[in-house]
Amino acid sequence: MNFSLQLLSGLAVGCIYSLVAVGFSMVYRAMGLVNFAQGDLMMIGAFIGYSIIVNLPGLPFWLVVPLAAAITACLGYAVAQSALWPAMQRGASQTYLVLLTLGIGIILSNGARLVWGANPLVYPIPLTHETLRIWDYPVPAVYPFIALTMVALIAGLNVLFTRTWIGLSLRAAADDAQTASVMGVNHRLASAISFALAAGIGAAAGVLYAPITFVSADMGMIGIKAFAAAVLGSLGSIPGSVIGGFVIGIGETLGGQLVSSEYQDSLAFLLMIGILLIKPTGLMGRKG
Amino acid sequence: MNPSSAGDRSEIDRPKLLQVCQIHVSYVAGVDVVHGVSLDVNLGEVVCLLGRNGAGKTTLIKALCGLLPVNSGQLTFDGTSLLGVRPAEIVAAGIAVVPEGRRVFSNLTVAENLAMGAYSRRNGLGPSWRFDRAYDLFPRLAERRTQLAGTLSGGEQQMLAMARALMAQPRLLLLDEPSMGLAPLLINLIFDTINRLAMNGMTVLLVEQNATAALDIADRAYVLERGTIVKSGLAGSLERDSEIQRSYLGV
Amino acid sequence: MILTRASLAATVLLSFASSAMAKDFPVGFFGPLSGPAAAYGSESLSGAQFALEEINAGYLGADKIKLIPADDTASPGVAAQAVQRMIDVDDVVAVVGGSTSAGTAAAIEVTKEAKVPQLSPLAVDSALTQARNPWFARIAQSSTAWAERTAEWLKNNKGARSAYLLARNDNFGVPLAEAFERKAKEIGLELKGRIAYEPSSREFKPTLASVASANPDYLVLWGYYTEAGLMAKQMAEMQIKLPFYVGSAIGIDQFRDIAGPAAEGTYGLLYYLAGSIETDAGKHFVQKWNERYHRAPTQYEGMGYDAMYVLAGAMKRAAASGGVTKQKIRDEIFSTREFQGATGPITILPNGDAERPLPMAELVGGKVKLDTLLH
Repeated sequence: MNFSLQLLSGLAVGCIYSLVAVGFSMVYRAMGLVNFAQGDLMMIGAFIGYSIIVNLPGLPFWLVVPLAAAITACLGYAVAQSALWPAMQRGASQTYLVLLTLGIGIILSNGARLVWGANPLVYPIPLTHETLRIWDYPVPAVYPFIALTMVALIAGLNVLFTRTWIGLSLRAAADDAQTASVMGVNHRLASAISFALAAGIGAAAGVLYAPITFVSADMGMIGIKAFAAAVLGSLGSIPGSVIGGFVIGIGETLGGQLVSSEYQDSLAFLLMIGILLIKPTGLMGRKG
Repeated sequence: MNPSSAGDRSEIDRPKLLQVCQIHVSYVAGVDVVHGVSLDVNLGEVVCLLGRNGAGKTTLIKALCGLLPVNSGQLTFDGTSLLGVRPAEIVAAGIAVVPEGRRVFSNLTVAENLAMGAYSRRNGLGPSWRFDRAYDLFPRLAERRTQLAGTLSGGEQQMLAMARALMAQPRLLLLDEPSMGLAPLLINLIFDTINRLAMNGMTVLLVEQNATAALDIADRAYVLERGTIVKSGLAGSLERDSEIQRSYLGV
Repeated sequence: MILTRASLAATVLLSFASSAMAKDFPVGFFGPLSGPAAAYGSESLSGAQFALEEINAGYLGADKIKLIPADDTASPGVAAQAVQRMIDVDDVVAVVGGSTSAGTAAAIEVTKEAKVPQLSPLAVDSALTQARNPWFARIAQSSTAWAERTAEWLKNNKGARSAYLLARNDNFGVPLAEAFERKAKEIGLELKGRIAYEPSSREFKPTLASVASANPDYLVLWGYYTEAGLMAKQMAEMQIKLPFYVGSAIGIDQFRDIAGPAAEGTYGLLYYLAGSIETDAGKHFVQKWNERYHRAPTQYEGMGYDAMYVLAGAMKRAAASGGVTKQKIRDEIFSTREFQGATGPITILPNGDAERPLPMAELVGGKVKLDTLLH
């Protein structure tokens, strides 16, 4: 009973890590940069979700998720177009770009503090504290939402990337931007769209995570664990990021109980280091 | 290959499809890699551009497909200027490129690579475009359509890069060193295919170091050295040029 | 000429007389008025200002206190600068503050150097009164006292035989946990376990599972209200039913928001709980505050109010026995005995610590209810 509860909560948190990790991988593939603002975009998404709930009371939760994701995606698009692309155009080094994304993250979290205040916010909806009973197991009511959104997002991304021109062109541009542009793909637009999609997915994760905990400006910290998940699964691989998220989510919860809960937070990184030692390219990485 | 048939195609009165006039191109401002190059490609011709590594061949190709800006000079395709035109519009106008080193999208399947070739013609069509012509040209690709392009052999990747360029239904095909790094048997196959395309009326600008094979199928040729054209003429006459023989044909 | 001289003399005399009759004493106040810790500073400031209105209406006779507030944004560096400036520029006779232990610790160095009395309403870190600054006192109990009172309450009032200890792994949680553990050993309260969790943690289920399997009588937490809220919530999700002591989180709205229904029945120790003090001073404050704001005062407002009064009381006694000097104010602050404050009778100990009743409270029906007033 206790074990399955732990597993379930590990899966739920794993979903959140996975989604943020997918964002890391998408941006890495499309723009060749590690976007350390990914966690903060998730945080902004969670705050936007809060504002939607407060301003549109009665809006079903399953609509709050895509709405917050769409608004955050627009913000991500603007960030990519206004800050990242110009820097990349000028041939900025990786170090500079990483610092730039870190800076964007700091601006986002301070901005959130200005707009939404310093105190943690709790979604004022029953979902936050409701518990369902599934086969006599107590399950927080938000878990089914997390599971469904996860499945829908992964299925949606799969369709997008393999069945649509836009998805295909994003993948092609991620593979070889110059050749894709000779085929007619606008690299700048493709980069911005990838960044926006990653922001939107992160925002969905934030809105889903909020009822489990609360929303605060330092919520972006979770991005570090999601980054470990992405690296563990092989940065740039979307299936790898999903698997990496689950490995860390479940590893943390179960490992935390089996080993010692005092080191629960370090477990994510121990797992990452352990897996990279065995397989340096990550779980889904190819050789060479 | 019968040289006389190549000669038959090179009628002087054919309309000019591509006109390059005194263009200067650079990677870094002020340092021209291509300076003052002029060349023409007539409709239906196979024109070959010979030159060693670093002569400026690839730079010229990049300028033609809009990847590098032209600092000065004129560039017209079918009577329309290409100066300042973006790559997307150039491919839509009818110029497709087979880039140096093939550059297939290695994380995309063969079919997806072909679909990307047709990206500029995507209006109203889904990516599940009909690939029959590409597969007819290279049956090997049909067998591997669901395979990731990165797992193909070098020769197969070259076939894919050519088929992908043809998916754009171009009027001018730019080929940048298609024989590079391939086994002799595959080189023959590639050049046979280029010749077949030319027979069917495709206009081709072929950049090559492998002068023997290239001059065999070309109507005319230009020789590029240090960013300028040093020689030009009918392929047959260049083949007999002693200097060319010494420098490029290894005779 | 004579007229001029006479009028000059009159002016000098008048101004001398008026200054002798009524003085404005500048007093500094510092604490976080912005940023994440703003509630501590701004609420204790409004309590102090409320007290000041009463004080300036005759408590010091004709004399008045002029309060000079400064925002330290909870940053030690800013706190030290602000206090230095109010001493140098405004020539304050005393400083009320700070509201966080870190800010207070930085300011102590300044007041010690300048020999200016400093009285903190909220800082609890035990180290503060061990810093050997004879100019520093506080009306809040040290963290050691909080932990010890809690252990005694569990054993004596609740009849608990065992407890499980969770502490935030930083210089806030660990000293509290250590003080609690010492006291628990001393009085024979069994500790079934102790876990120091990472401050960034948000997933406590593995920890709580360990707690549940140890089956203690009480779970005791020394952490922030966000962690307290998440733990209460996650215990409810795991269907662990355990009496839970959450510390001062119980008085914070966000704790109740985060924990939701799971906040019900949690215990916590507060600085002050409106309505828990049955003395005249206690009733007076709550009544006046209610008249003005139509709500009960918060714990920080109560503490700000009392800090101002303890200082004013010292100034009043100083005025009565010779003169209001910094040295005299300091001496009188340290001689405060059974001062009838709004938060209870306050005695300042020789090391600058305070004796004062602490209200142990329980959340009942979403409201903070007094369990026991601990002395």
